[in-house]
Amino acid sequence: MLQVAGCSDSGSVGGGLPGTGSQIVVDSIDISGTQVQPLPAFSGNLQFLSTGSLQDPLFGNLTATGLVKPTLPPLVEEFNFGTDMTLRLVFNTDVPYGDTLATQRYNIVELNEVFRGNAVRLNDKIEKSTGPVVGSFTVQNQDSVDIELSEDWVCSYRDFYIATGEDRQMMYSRNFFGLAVVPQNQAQVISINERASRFIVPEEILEDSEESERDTLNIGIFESAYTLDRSNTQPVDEGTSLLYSTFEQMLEFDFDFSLENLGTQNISRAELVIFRDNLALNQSLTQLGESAVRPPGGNLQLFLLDENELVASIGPNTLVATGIYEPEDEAYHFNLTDAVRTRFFSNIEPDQSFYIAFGQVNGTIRSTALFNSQAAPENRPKVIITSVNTENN
Amino acid sequence: LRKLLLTILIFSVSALLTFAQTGGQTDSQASEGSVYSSFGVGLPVDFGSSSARGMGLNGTSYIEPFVPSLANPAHWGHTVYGMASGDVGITNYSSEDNFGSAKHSNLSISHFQVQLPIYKGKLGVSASFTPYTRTAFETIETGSRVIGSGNTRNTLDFRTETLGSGGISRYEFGVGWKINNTIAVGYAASLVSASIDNRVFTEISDVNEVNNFAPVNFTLQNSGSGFGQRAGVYLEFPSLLNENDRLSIGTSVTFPVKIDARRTQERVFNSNDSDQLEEDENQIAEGTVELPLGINAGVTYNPSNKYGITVEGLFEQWSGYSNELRSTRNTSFTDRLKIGTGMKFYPFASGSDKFLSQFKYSVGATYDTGHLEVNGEDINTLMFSAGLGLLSPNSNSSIDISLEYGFRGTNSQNLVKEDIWGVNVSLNLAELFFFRPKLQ
Repeated sequence: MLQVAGCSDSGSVGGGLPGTGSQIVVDSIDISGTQVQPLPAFSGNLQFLSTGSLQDPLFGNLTATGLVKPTLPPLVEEFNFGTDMTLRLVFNTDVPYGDTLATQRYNIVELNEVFRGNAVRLNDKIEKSTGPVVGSFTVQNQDSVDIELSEDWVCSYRDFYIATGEDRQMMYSRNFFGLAVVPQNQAQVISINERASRFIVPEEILEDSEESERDTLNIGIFESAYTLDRSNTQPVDEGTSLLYSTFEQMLEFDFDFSLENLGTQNISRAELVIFRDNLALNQSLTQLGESAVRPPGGNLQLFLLDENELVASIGPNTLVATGIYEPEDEAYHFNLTDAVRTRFFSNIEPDQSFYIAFGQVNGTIRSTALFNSQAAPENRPKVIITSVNTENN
Repeated sequence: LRKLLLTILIFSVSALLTFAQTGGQTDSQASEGSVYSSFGVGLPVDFGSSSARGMGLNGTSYIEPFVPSLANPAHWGHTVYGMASGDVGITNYSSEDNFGSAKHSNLSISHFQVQLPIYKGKLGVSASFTPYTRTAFETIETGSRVIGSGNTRNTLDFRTETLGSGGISRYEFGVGWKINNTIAVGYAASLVSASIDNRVFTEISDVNEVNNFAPVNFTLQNSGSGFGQRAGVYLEFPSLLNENDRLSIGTSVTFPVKIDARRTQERVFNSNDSDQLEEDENQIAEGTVELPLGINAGVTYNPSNKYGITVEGLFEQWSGYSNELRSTRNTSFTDRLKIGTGMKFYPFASGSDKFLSQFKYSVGATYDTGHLEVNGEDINTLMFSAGLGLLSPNSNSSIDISLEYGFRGTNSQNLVKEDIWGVNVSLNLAELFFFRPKLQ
């Protein structure tokens, strides 16, 4: 129903007058030419580090190895550093990935080379020692674990701790390599909360000591990272693209958001809609096991990036919008209204493209499957413009 | 007593202005006029002279010596005194249709004119600013649309408010020549300038209350200019039936005007990185707006200097109107005929010193077929007018107050009927300083 009225405090009139023909127009414009763009992302010194192994029918065989190196606290001469040391790992239980009823076994082994957390990338190979393991543990539905570390490794750490020279810290950084948390079977991938985890050293009580209470030295994590080996990824339909929160793969596309291309200036809402391939996700999860889960949730992120500077420029400063999943239409929705109305995309450089990434790079491993531009027409990514047509005004 | 009346009048004008200004600041309705001004380029504005306004006429067939006239360029040939005039008025609209009622009011300053003798009583010139059409309205249009299907089905409701303002104005310069005591002719050329703004504000909401639709706020500006021309003839026949009577006939022709116009959209939106509003402008159309031919003719018979009766007709060929910038919104433009008659009574001319004899009185009525046909109905107007003129005690300047009351439109076909009443005050200055004649 259309109604035209001249209005005032006392009411409105004019319902029978020919209107201006105002109407809401909804245009849907398909995005074409989406491509999967790999990105060798950094994976160190994040909030979490992942470790574990599993066979995901959709996202491949994953083996994540965690890397940790304790800090070297200032020497406390009164503290008797013995041969006991525990590694307390606190897990992020919000992102279970794998068979929740299975037990995941781990060995802790010494590294054979120095790693710098800020420089480690997902696909880096950090050499591990072939010597005896430093510790072992298993995980099944628990939120933390304490692991007794081997006396040999503790002693080697203690040597750096009790050193007194001016080059104490430098020598530690260069010559003490840290530990790897290596999965021993394929059941789960867990994520370790880097800030909540720590090394615990109980003070050694000397036989001739008069003190009966033991002090404890809590040692935080100096460097952390994880590496990921993903193999045997099963081919998926050409209309589906796999995205990971590690940014191993992103979805790249170009689109002209100019008002001229969109065909109207009177835009009330501009939305980028990308549909999720829930069929592929659900079928593959069933194959993973009855008690298997994948980390829930996760938003999409839209970046506008120079293709020559992907690794350096991707981050909060280049984030354009966040796509939130709406189960009603099984799609992620990006609200681009302000960006389009303010012509935010009007000065895009030739080397710049739009990139869709999944989740946040925080050390957890999430995955999703999205329909791309080769999917069925109803599932293709699209820009939906809601505008007001008032051409007769 | 006269001074007291003038003081009261000045107070009234001030109060009128103050009321209108206050209304304009606190109530957006104060700037609205007829809902029918939303069509085309607005409603035509008829103005000839402030003394004729009291009869509801233009006054193309009569001259009042101390009041400037725009009704007929030929009148300027009779100019003896340097004169100027301007006016301010407020018009109130009480509108109703089959669904409800509304009230609007509109304040306007409609004209300014300077009329000067070049050769007293033979050749005169006029420079003026007058409105040709006026747009002042508010419309509210609501609707809904269902989008999506299945789980994503949603109903969007929208409300579009359009505020129209502006109109077409005429900046005119002309000359009139009194050829002899019977006939005078005149010609005027003008810059016809269009400036009509429609400010459109649309809000969209959905029943699911997602509410992530931004309001759409923009202004459509229709602007342009053209060259206008008017010509007129004025005939005067004194002592026709007796020594003091006079018959005068006048006609003026307004030639069609082609306005080279453009339509731009000025968009208002919130800046991306702040709450400040930003604007951009984009031309969306260019074309010609053709205004119609108009013929105004009348006859006035003055049995004596105290009385006068006028019959007048105005024809405007709006069927020839065209506008390449905007659609006609399912509305037809039809030829407009406005006929009217009025009487004036000037008791001061007899020299009486009675209080009530010191004013000018006029009354009249007009019927206007209008230039719009909406839903198959002509939008006609019946108007009654009355005027009161106050003469300056020390000069020939005067103030004309006119009242009008009438009806426009109809309730049938779901249209709007408007009750209109208005007050207009014109200040007419005569004997302008150095143009004051040495001998009277």
